[in-house]
Amino acid sequence: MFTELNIILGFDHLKPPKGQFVLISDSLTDGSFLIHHFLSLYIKGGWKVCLLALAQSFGHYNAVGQKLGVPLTQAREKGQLRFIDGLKCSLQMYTCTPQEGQGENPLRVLRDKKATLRPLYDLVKTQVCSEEGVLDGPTLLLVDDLSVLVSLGVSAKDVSDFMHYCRVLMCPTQQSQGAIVSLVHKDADVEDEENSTLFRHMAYHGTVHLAVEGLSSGYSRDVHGQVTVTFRNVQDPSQSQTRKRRLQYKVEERNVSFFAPGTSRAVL
Amino acid sequence: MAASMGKGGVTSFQKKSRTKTLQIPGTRPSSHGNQLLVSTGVPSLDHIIGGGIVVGTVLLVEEDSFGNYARLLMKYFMAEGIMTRHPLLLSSAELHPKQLLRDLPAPVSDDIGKAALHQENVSSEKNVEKEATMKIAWRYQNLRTEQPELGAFSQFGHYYDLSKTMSSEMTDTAPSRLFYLPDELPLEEQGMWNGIRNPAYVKLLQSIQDVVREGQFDLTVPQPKDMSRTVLRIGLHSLGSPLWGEQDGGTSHDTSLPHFLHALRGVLRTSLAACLITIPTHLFQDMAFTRRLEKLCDSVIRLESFAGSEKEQNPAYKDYHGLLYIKQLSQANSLLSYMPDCNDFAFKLRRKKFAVEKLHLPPELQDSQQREQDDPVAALKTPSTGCFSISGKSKLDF
Repeated sequence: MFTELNIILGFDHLKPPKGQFVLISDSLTDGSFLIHHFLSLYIKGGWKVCLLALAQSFGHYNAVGQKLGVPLTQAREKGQLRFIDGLKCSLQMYTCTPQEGQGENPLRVLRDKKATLRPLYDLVKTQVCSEEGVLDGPTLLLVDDLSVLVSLGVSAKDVSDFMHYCRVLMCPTQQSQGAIVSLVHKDADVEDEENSTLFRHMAYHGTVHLAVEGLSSGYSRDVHGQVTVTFRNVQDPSQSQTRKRRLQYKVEERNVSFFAPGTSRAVL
Repeated sequence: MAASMGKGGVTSFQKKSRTKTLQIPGTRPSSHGNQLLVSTGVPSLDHIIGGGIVVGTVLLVEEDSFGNYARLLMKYFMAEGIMTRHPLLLSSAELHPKQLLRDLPAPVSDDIGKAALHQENVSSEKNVEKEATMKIAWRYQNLRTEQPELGAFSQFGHYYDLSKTMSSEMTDTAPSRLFYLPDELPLEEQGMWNGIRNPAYVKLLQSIQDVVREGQFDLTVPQPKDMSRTVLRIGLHSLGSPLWGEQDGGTSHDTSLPHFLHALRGVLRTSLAACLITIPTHLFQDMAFTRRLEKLCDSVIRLESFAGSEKEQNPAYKDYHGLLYIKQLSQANSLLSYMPDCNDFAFKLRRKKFAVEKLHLPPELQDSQQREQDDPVAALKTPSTGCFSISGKSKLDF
């Protein structure tokens, strides 16, 4: 959990906000440090977290979590963290023969062209909801990351339908109990139509958008990139629609430091 | 645990380490983070990618136009595996893996000498009878007299001599599993697939899983504590070439290779294995496809050789054979990846060394070049102009 980012975002670290759909997009760099930030923020805030991990294994999140002071294995045993292992499902999907069938694998869509991400949504629903089918207590759904689904062949439409259903489940309004954080890759130098379409759909859903990119002046060892935070104000049409903040960041071993552009410690 | 130091002596306090670090010969822990690294076989390449390949990750090498240097890197990787006694898994579709293994560069002779010398010393010590009891230093009576073998095989990173090939006894006795695509999958089956799952990649992944399971490299299966563990080296040469069945030169709609890489990540993250893949990405038409493959691998470097290109004539590059770009570095199990100082590297191939160095522009000397056409620095800065452009400092200016 990076305290400077919390101050900028206006998120209280003792009571993380509800009803937010945070979209993280990265271009030519890796924005996954923000996933770790939100994961540790919400776990420390006492929320229930459902982590849909498609890009990395549990060991990765655990190793980083230990550095940030959040013991994920304990959270998982207590039931505060529900982990959906996308790597294992994808591997099983890849190597199973048609005779064995796909069974209960939530990523059936990777083999079966007629299927959608419905089984994955059902799995997420069982993980976050109580028996009645509503959210019990504040819950966060963390998706890392959606571009992997597109690379694996799921169409942007299916992914955006899945996220729409998740949003209706978790945070349809700003007063709902849940929140969603998701990551999409959007590289500026290649034309990846599916990813761009997916990004545009997600941008409509999002209440906060964090765009991570490298510096326009090139690679630097002291400032690793910049984050542009955009707040979408959908409630009050009289005020301006969006509010933007720009920060530069440097990733360190146990922390990421954020600072205003030009005020890096290497420069001052 | 603080070690108390005497007036100039070494104490017997030993730091109790809470984490069980695996002691595997041929590997070393990385400087940031508690990860295990294996050498790529090229010490200068190890240095720029942060020490080596992290065990459990994939290093992707995007091949140069003729594939020579990528094949050379694969040979170094395999040779390093033989020197450190790591089992190998090598797959290839065009030339037989056995042929690749027969052609490995021999280690530079003093490494071999060291290993042979140590073997002799150890065996001669064993022959000496040690029944004389110690009278003064009786505390040391019960300690082991054999030292652990610190031969060349536990050294990290070796130098290889390209003019000699590794002896066949070393390559034949090394534990290896070879995957030659025409042997594993008959040609008829290769042709027919409905576009979703390339059977060649499925067969390859299944054989990787079999080796991991049989060789006990799987970390999820508990092993007896005193069993010596080692790291599996997986080398996938020229994956994604047309011989593997890539149709239409790879577009964003093709999902077999991305799915293979994703499933491979699932296997590697829970195994004691390190993987080097070379892919001829210059054959792919769609940059977005290449970008997706890169995101699914952990570390990515790209080779660009000067052979046959106009850059060969450029005097700024005259010492080097090609450029090397680092596109991505592994971020597995850590918040940040290794950040190199700069990203301009060039490589040159010598007989005994494959050297990767920072690219420096030559200094501008006033007295040497009078005409700007001959200045190599200016030639690097100005982009190449097309045939019909009027501007430019062409020698045929009318």
